[in-house]
Amino acid sequence: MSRPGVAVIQFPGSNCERETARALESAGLSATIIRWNEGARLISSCHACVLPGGFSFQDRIRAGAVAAKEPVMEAVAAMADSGRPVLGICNGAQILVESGLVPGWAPGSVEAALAANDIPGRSGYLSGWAFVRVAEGASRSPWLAEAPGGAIPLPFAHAEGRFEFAQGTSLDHLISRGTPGLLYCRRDGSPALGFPANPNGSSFSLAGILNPGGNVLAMMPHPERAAMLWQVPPALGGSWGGLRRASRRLDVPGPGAALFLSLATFLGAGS
Amino acid sequence: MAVVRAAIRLKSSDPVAGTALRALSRAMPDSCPEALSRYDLWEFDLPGGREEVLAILARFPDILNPNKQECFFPEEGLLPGESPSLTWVSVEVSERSGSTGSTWSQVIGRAGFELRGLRLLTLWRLGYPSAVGSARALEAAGETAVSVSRNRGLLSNPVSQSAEVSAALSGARSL
Repeated sequence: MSRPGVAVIQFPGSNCERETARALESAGLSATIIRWNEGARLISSCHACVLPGGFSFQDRIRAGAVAAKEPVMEAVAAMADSGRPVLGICNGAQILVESGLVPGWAPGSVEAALAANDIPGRSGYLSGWAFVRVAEGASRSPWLAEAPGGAIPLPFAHAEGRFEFAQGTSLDHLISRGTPGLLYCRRDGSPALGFPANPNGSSFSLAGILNPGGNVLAMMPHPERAAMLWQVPPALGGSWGGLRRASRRLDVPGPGAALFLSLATFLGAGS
Repeated sequence: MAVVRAAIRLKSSDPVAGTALRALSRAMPDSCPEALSRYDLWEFDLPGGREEVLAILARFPDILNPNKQECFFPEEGLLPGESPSLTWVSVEVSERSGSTGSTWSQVIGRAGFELRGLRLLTLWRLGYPSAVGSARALEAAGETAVSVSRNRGLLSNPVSQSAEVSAALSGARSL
């Protein structure tokens, strides 16, 4: 049986396409890296697609803004409209936001921003590890269905990762539309109450948001950089750090693999 | 109170402006200008006026690197290098949170400058053929100013940024 195909779209300046493809392959999927100008038909034939991290078009104007205007995004939008899974990681998330594919309350309209990090006393680029948990109701997403219930450690690296919505937008508004996907939390899974658990000042501690259908997920942390246990730092706290220190085998799935394994199950692939 | 605005641009052609022009020509050909340039627009509120701004610029090459950038104080008329045969429109984009400006305020304040306020904006200058007319040029620039959808607007995000379109800001005296 052939493995379901997943397109990994490479824009000029993308830099995580290979590890993203590797994480998808490790989950039992067939990943194809497709350049942004190779034609929509290649993407349309795939079962899902991923917009990987990086700095598309050098983050010119603002992160994700130029890539969002590229013709290839029409094919991505068509894929999303047909209910097929679409994932944007970091810069890919910025592209999805600038494309109006998430939160997708009024489809096609830009209704959110991934704004500059806003942390008291510091600004600009920040990288490290954060803990996230799946928001209530978000396991309807093909990307999150098999993610564990507790805190999941994932690396992040960005300067513009703060989810922001129009002034006055309430958490109830987001919840009623199924928008929260992943939330920053503390190591024990309890809510993040600010920095450092919420590393960028994101509204409502959002680390990832979904469209109403749940098939499109835009997330700032990098699951592909935690897809194998060897990628987890031994010094990391929590159960995954303990597992990393104790394990004799490191070439086994890490905390980020859950998203790709969820997709594989959704698409009927065995790992 | 003295508010001084300093517009800073690359001496060489600006790749960001080039990318923006290319993106607009593909996504919004009807609203795309013929020429487009971009400036970092620093708005200082300080008692010392322009002389103190010059001292700040001389002190911080991260704001103005004289090897690769040049600075103007926008007044009336065209900005240097702008063709008089085009109708020019300004689009000023600012972050709603203003976190970058507040960080720079602290840095400049620690260096001993008396600064009451600081805003960092992006100034886009869009030049349309004169035949378009000033009213249509303003309208077209407005269409590019806010990214409302995948196919409409580019220069600012409607949630995290604000954009001001005007034909008023023009002209400059070179530093």
